[in-house]
Amino acid sequence: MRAVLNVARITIKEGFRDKVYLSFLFFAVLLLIFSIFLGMLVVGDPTKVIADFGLAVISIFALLMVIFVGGGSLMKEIQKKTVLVVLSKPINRGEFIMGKILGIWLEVVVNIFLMSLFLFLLILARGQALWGIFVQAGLLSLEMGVLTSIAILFYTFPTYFLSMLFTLSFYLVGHLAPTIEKASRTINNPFLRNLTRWVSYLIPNLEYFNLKNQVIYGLKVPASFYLKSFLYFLLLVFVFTALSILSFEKREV
Amino acid sequence: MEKVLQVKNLHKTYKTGFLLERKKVLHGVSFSVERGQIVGLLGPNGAGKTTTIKSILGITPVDSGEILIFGERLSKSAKAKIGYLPEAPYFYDYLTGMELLSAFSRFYGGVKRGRIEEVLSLVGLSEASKKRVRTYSKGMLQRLGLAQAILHDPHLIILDEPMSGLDPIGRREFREIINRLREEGKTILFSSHILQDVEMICDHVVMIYQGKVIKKGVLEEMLQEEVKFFEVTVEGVELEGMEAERKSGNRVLYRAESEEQVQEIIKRTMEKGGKVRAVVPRALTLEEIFIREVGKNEGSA
Repeated sequence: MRAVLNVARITIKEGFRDKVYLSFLFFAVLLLIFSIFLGMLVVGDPTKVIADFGLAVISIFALLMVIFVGGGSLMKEIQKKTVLVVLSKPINRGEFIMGKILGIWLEVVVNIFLMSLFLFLLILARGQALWGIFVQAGLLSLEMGVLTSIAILFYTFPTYFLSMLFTLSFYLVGHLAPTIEKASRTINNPFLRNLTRWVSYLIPNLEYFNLKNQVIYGLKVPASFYLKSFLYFLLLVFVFTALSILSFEKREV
Repeated sequence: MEKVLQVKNLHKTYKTGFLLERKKVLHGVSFSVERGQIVGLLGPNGAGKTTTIKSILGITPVDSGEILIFGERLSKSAKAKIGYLPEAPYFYDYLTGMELLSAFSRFYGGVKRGRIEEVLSLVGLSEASKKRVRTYSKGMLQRLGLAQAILHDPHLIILDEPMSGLDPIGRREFREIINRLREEGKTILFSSHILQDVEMICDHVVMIYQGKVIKKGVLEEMLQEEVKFFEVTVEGVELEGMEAERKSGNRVLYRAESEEQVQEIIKRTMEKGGKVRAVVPRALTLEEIFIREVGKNEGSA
């Protein structure tokens, strides 16, 4: 455990000082400010427009950070062979991967909450305290935990571009999982119908971590949803971390 | 003497390219390192030195063979007794030298107070310790690499091409540090393709070529047993029928190709009333031995 925490600590320290990380944070803040003007231009409740656009910005920038800052940091360690020095210490490959996932995830979580706080203050300045933003930040953090473990799995492969593409695809398909499942019901061919349904079950359903609409429109969410989301998060992180470790064990560095 | 490291019959195959073609890089590498020795793993680029080192550290798995460190298989406790400097080391860009060593020390449960400052001073990085690693030159990275390798006061230090990329002054300083470690009784395994470095630093040599150990032994013995010719200096006489290598005053230096020829020169000098001042055996250099062994290996392949 000491080794895992130490790798995480190094990853966080390195990440927070990385210019890419700071640039992402800077551009995210710029876009959140832009949402005020968007609220003025678009027809409808300006606060809701700001919240809607702002939450989307936070979500996309968190994903970009997982891909570029997180995955990039593992790739850099392998390519520049820093990993050789680390693996020569009293640590095994599994602990190294767990440390990387934990470190990258915590880095992204800090970023999510910073961006969410900024969005909350923007909306508060308009006279509304939208506490739900922090609930969504928590769920988005769980989603990014899953995506970090997925990204690390792909970044243990040697092709950077494909790793990036696969992670992005999982994000997009993950949010479409419920739609695919619904669509499967309309297929007449029983074989294809079952196949599509099972495929939709195999795809990580990232809609378990999405409450944007409920937050914006102030809808009630049952407590069981949060429990389900948390358990689903644990399951997915466990599966993808295990796969990442297996893949990294086989990788020549 | 205690065997610190035993490498027994290592075989390693890499799968390369899209079709995962198999390329065998180690063909039964075996050698051992005893406590206090400085062993040079000598071979050209691509000979299998780095793969051997990575196998010892458990960084790369082997097809077959056995590695024992302090008599036991590689474990976390065995790893804690090893310090490793990879070839052309690269560290975390945004950490300072001090922060990096502090972070690495945590893998060993911390180091004694003042140890980080001590190793930074030993490698000459005290002044740069608060600068970020990304601002370090290649030579400074190499020094930092050595600092992290000796930080936890390991018993066995493994250095992979530690002199590559260093300027002459840097090389000399590096040699001095290694000599200091030798005086402290550390055991060092040192890979290099530069024969001069090995000759100046190591007391034992393992020659590796195309994934095979082609010669190993005590460096001094290796050099002494391989006498190429003798230089005989005589005084007061000149021998007929023998070509002098050099003349200085009444001293003449002859070159003898065999011990019999040495005896003949001595006999003739004494007969003529001259004096034999010196008989110096001239050995093969490490380079000549290495090239001859490579030639033998290629001949038998």
